[in-house]
Amino acid sequence: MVSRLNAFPLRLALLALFVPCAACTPAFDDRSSQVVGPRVLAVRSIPAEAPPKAAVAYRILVVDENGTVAKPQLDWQYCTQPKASNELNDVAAACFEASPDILLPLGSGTAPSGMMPINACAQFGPDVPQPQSHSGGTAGAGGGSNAPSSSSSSATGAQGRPTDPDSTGGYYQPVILRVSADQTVVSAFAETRITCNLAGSTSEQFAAYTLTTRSNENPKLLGVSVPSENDAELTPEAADSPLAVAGTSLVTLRANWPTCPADPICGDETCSPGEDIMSCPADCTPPVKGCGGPESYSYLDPADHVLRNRHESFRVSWFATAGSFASDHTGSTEADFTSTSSDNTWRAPKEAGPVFMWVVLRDDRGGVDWQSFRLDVQ
Amino acid sequence: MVKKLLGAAVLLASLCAPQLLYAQANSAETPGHQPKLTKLPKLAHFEEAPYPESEKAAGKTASVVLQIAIDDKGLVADAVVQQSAGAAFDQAALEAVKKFVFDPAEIDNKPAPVKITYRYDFVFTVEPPTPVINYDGYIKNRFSKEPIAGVKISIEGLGDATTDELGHFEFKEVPLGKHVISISGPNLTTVTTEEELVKGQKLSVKYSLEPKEDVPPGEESDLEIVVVAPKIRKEVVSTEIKAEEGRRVPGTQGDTLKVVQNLPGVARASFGSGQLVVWGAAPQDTRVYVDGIHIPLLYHGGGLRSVFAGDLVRAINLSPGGYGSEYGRGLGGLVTIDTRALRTTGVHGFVAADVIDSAAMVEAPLSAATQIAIAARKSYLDRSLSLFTSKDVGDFVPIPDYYDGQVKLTHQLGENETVEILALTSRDALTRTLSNQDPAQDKSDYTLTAFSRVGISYKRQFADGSSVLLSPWVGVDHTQSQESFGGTPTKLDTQSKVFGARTAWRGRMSEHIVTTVGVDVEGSRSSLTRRGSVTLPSREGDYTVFGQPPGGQVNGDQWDTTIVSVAPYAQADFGLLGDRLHIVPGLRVEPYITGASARYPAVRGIPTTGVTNQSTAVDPRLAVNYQMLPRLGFKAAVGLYHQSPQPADLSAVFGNPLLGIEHGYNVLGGSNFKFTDQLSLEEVVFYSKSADLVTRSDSPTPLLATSLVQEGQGRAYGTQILLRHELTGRFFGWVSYTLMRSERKDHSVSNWRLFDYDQTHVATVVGSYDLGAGFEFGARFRYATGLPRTPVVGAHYSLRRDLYEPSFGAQNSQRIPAFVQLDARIAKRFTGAWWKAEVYLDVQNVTDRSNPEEVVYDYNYGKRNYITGLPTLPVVGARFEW
Repeated sequence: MVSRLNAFPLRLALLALFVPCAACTPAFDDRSSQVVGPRVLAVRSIPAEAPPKAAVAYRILVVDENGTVAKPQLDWQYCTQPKASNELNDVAAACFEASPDILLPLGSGTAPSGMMPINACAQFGPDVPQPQSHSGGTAGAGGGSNAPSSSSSSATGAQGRPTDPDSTGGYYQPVILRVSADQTVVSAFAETRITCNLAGSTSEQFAAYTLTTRSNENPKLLGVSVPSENDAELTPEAADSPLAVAGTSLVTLRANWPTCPADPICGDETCSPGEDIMSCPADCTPPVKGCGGPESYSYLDPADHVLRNRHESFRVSWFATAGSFASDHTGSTEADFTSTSSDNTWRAPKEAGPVFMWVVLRDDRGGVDWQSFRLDVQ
Repeated sequence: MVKKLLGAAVLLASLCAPQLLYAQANSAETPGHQPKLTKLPKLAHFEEAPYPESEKAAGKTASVVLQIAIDDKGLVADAVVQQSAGAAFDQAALEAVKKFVFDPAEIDNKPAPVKITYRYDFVFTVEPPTPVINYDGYIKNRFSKEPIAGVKISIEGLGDATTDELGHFEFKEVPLGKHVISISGPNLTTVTTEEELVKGQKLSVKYSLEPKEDVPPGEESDLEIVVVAPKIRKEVVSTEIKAEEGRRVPGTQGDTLKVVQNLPGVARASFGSGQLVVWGAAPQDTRVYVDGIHIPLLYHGGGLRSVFAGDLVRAINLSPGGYGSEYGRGLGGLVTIDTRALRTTGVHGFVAADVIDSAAMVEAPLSAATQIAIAARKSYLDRSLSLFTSKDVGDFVPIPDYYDGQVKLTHQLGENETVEILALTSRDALTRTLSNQDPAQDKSDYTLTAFSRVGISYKRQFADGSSVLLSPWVGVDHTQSQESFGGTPTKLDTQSKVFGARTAWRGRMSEHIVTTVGVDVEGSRSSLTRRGSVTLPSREGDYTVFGQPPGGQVNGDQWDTTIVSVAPYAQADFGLLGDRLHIVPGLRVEPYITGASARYPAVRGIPTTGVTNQSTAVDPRLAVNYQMLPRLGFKAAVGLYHQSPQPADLSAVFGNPLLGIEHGYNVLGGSNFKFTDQLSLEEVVFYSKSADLVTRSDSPTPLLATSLVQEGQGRAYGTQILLRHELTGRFFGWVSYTLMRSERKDHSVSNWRLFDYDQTHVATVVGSYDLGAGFEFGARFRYATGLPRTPVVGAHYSLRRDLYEPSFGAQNSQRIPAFVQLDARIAKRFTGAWWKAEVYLDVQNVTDRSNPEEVVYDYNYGKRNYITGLPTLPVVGARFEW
C-alpha cells in the first residue's frame, strides 16, 4: 500500500502522523500465476459463439507442476439453471450441486462435443425464461401485505425477466467441469457465448446489428517472443531443445496476436462484419476465416438504447511452474484495439531445471486461445 | 402568621434612699462627720434580661425587686432578690443586673460604694409581625448548573423578585393559593408557571433554565418545571449531548456531532464508512434533522467530519427508537440537531484548523432584532498529504474531498416571535484509481454526495404559553457513484429536488393535558440514471466478500421517481399524579404516494408507462413516563413506523417500480435513576420488528421488473445502559453499553440470519477532566463485537473471466474479531480579554492495537486474512475564537 510513498524518513514519519485513512492490507504469498498442482487454465469453445441447438466442441488445458496433463479425467455438463437475482456470482450455486434435474451431460475426455441447449437463450439470454418454482413466498411478511414478492406465477401470464447481458452484450451457457488429476478434484466452469436476439432493440437496430456484428471468433495467440533476444520465440512444451535462460535472470516476454482489418475488404482473408457469403464468398465461404485479433462488434447500450461500435479487449494470463511474473495478467484495453501484443516480465528461478509456462489469451467476448512452453533454467 | 415573642426588660429602677453602707464604713475615721451623698449612681449600661421561655406561654408581666451593691467604680458588686416574681424571672433579672454598669455614686464628692434597690420589670409583648419568607428558590442554568443572576420572578398581581449572584430569590408573605409565576430576564424567553402555596408550608423550588443562546427555537419553554407554556418533553428514550461536551470527546477531533457514534444503541460504523446503525436498523433507516430539516447524511466521506458546523449546534439528540408522532418516515433511529440562538451583541466567530480541514464562522447582529451567522469548512487532506507523500497516494487511499457551509439568520418580530432562515450545503467527492497492467484488474471508483437546503421557520409563543411553528424548506440532492472493475463499469446518478414543511401548534388544553398537533410534509422528485453491473452497489444481505469482482452482467436504465407523504399528527401529554406520571398517546396518519416513470424496462421507440403506488400508514404511538421518586423514574413506549422505498430501488430494470412502504414497530421499557443531580443511570430494554423490507429476488426466473421484492423481515432486541456524569465543573463523561442482536429474514421461507451490521456488544467509556490552568485531558475506550461475515468454503474457477468465484457457507455465521481501541485527547486553552484559543492533540488508538476491520481472501479464496485499522494516529488542531 505504501510502495509508492517517498522513502525519505521524515516524510514517512509525517505520513505516519497524519494519514487518517490508511489501513493495512495483508499481502498473500500465493499468486494465480504459480502452478504448484493440478489446475484447469482454459477451455475453448469451438466455435466461440453458437446459437441454441448448434454443435459445439470443447478443448481444455489442464496442467500441474510437471507440465500439461495429457489425459485428465473430465466430466462435462451443461447447467440449465439460471442464477437468482440474489446470487452475485455468474453461475447459480445449484449448478455445482450435481443435481441431475438441471445438468445435461456433455461428455468426458479432453475434447467433447455437444449441442447447445435449445432453451439457452431463454434460460441465459434475452428471451423470456420459463417460470420455475423457487423458495420465494407469495407475500411479504406481515400477512395480508400486497407488497411485491418474488412470486413468478405462470398463471398470471406475466412476463418473465430476461437475463442481463455482460458488458459486451453477450449471454453465456454455463458448462460445469469436474476435473480429476493427480488424485485431486478441481471444480471449474466454462461459458459458451450464445447467439441470441438483440433484446430491447428496434427492427432497424437489429438489422444494423446483424450487418455490423459477426459471431465471436476465438482469438489467436501467435506466439510469445523475447524482445531482448531478438524476438526469439519461446519454445513449445514438446520441443526437444527448449529456450535456455539464466537463473534469476529477468526475461521480458511478449504475447502476440494478429490485427484485424480496420475496414472490411473482400479478399483480406477475413470475413469481417458486413461481409457474408453472398457479398464476399472469398472470405466468407465456410470454413469462415475469422479474425484472431481484437474484433469490432456492435453493442446496444442498455442505458440509452443506442447501437455503438466497439472493439474487443484482450487479456493475457501468464502461468509458470517456477519463477515469478511481474504481473499475473496483462492485456490491452478496448481503446488499444490496434495493439498486437502485451508485455510482461518473468524472473527466472535460481534453481536450474525445466520450467513450464502457459500463456492464455482471452477476448472479452468469451473467446480463448493458449500455448504451452518450456524453458530450461541454467 | 407566626407570632414572635420579644423578651423586653423595662427599666424601672428606683433609687429610693440609697443605703450608704460603704460610706458609713469609710467615714468612721472622722468621728462626728456625717457623710453626705453628693451624687446618685447613674445607670450607664443596661443589660436586657431575656423573657424566660418557660413563662412565655403564660405571657404575664412580672417584676423582680433587687438590692444591688455598686462599688466605687460603678460595677455591680452584688445583687440580691428582695421581692421575687418566680424563679425564672428572678434568675433572669439577677443575671442581667450583674452586668449593669453605673456611673459611681459620690459621697462628699468622692466616688463611693452604695446599695440601691432596683426593680426589674418583665413585660410580655407580641413582636410586630415580621414578614415571613414562604416562597423562595434558586434558578440555575439547566446544563452548566451555574446559578443565573438577574432573573426576574414575578407573581402576578403581587410583585417581583430578582435572583442574586447565587441565583437565589425569595418572596415574603405570599398569600396562600395558586399563583401565576413569570420568569424573565436577559437572554431568557419569558415563561410562566403556576405554583400553589399551602398553609403552614414554605415553598422552596429550583428552576432550571436554558439561557436564550442555548435554547433551540421553539423550545423556549423547556423547563424542568411544570409550566403553563407546555413543556416539550423529549422522546422516551433519547440521549442529548450538549455541543460543548461533544466537542471535547476524544476521537472526535473537536467535532460536536461525531459524538453520536459514542452513544448507547449505536453500533460502531464499519471502517471509514461513517454510517449510523441504530438499534440494528439499516443506515438509511435512521433519519437526521437539523432544526426540522431532513438531511440525507450526518457525516462526510469516511466519517471524518460531520456535515454541519458544531458551533451552530446547541445540542444533538439521538433517539434510537420509540419516538413520538412528530417524526416518521424511518424504521431506525432519529437524530435531531438543534441549532443555538444567535448572540445579540458583539461580533463573534472562530477559525480552526488541523491536518484534515479548516473551518471558520462569523456571527454578528445586523440590528437590534436581527442576527446572522455564517460558517464554512473545507477539507484539504489531499493537499496536506501531498506535502509528505508521493502525489499518487490517493490512488491507493481514498482521500475524501469535502466542504460544507451554513448560514443562519434570525429576526425577532416581537418579544416571543421570531423568524429564522437556515441554509446549508454539503459536498463530498471521493476518487480512487488503481491502475493495473491487467485491464480486468483496473479499478476506479468515484462517489459524489452533495445536498443543499434552505428553510425558513416562524415561531411564536403566546401569552397563554401556547406556541406555533411553521417551517417550510426546499433543497436538492445529488449522489453519484461510479465504479469500474475491469470491464464491468457501474454508474448510479441520482438528482433529487426535495421539499418539506412542518407546522405545529402546542398548547395546554387543560390543567393536565398538553397537546401538540401538526402536519409534517415531505417529498422528492428524483431523476436517476444507472448503468453497469446489476450487483453493484451491493446490498445488505448479499452473499459477497470484500474485494470480490462484481458479476459480469450489466444493464442500464433511466427513470424518474416521485415520493410524497403528508402526515397530520397529534399528540397529547397527560400529566397525572401531581405531574409524576405522563401518558403521551400520539397518532400519525401518513398517506404515501410513490411514483415511477416506467412500469417496465424501456424499449426504444415505445413510450414507457409510469406507475403510481398509493398507500396510507396509520402510526399510533404511546409513551409513558412515571417519576415514581424524585430520583427514580420509569418509562415505556410502543409505536408503529413506516418508510418509503428508496428512489434507486424503483427502477424497472434494477429494482421494482411497485415497491411499497416498509413498516415496523418498536417496544421499549426502561428506568432512570439519578444518584446526584449530575450522575444518572438509564437502562432500556427494546424490541423492534420490521416487515416488507426490500430484498433481492431469490427467483431464478423472476417476473419482469421484480429484481427487488418486499419479502424481508427484520427484528432486533437488546438492552442499553447509560451511566452519565453531566458537564459540571471539571468533569463530564459516560459509560454506555449496548447488548443487542439484530437479524434479518430475506424471504418467507428463509431462515433468520444475523444482520450485516449486527454487533452483540458495544461499549464506550468517555471521560474528560479539566486539569486546571487551561489544560484538559480526556480519554475514550471502545469495545465492539466484530461484524458478521459469511465464510467462503470453496471456490469455482471461471474459465471465461479467469477468476475464482467463491462458494459460501452459512450466511453471516462468522465474525470479524472484536474492535478494541483507546483514544486520548489533551487540550490547552488560552483566554484573553476578548478571545479564547485552544490547541489540542487527539490521539487515536493510543495502544497501537491492530484491529481487524475486514476479511480478505487471496486470489482463489484458499487463504484468508484481515485488513487492520488505523495505527496510532495523532491529530493536532488549533482553534481561535472571539
